[in-house]
Amino acid sequence: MSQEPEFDPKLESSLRQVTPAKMDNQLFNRLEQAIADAKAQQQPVRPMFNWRFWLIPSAAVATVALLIALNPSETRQNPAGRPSSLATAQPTTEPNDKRPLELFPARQNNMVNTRSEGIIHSTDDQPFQKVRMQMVDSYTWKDPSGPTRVQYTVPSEEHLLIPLEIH
Amino acid sequence: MSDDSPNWTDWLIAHGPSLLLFARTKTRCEIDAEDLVQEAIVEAAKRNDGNIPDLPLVYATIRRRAIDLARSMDRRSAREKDVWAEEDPCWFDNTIEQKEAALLVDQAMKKMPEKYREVVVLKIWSELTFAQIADTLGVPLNTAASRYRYGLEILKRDTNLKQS
Repeated sequence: MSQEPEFDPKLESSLRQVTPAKMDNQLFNRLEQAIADAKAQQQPVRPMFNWRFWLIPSAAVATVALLIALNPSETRQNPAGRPSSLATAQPTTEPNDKRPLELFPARQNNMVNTRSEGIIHSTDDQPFQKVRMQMVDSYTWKDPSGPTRVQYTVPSEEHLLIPLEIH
Repeated sequence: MSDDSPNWTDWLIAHGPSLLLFARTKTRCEIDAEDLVQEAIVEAAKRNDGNIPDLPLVYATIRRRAIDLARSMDRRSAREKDVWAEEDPCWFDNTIEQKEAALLVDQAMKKMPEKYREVVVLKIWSELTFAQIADTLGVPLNTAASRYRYGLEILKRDTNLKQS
């Protein structure tokens, strides 16, 4: 402040002695509450620390691990057996009798769970409805001549912000 | 408000009255001024991830929201305006020791053209620099300084405060 020009130091000093009226307690408490609410609204938006965020990937990993445990010979011979689509399903293993194992798509399933997470406001105060969509794309390949099955599960999650109009 | 990282309580005690004064100069009634202060603080806090924001940002937000409010207020009824005109709280701390000066400054400030008044408030009672005032109001620095000088002349003329 010392480098700021002063036009009338005495008058400015006199004016500074007249202080603005204090806020009443009601307003003060209201402001504190509003700030606390604003902070509380911001904190939960950290999906990496939300246990639900890890639920679906964990379930997928468990499924794959179970399949590996049940069919160890298949996976040993097909470590990169990550099918890109149903149409490109290839024989994934070669059993002991040297007969190529052919797998055929048996099921494709898309599960969608949609949940509204309330109304949020953007930085320019535009209201949005926040919707969380959880999808699990699950594909199963099956050997018609035996019990071998391969299941491929891809979990994903999308957050949608739908603009709202205030009337 | 038990959170101790950003001490909002101290910040509100230090800057709340000046923010409210600035909001009062931009609105026509006490309720609107209080709402403006609340909205501006919350908006600025959100932009700053819940931390204490830069003071000029809060003043700029009050000003921007006051402009929006004034546009919507023009549509309100004349009857409401009459009600607002009845309430006229003193903008300054009119306790016994400075009551006379507070009332003089209050009346002079209320009569002063807004473009001078906002600069005077930000300079004297918010203690912003001219550079910060220029940023807050969106005017060149020289304009802010000259408006301040005119504002001071008006106060000098209208208040007859002690100048020696």
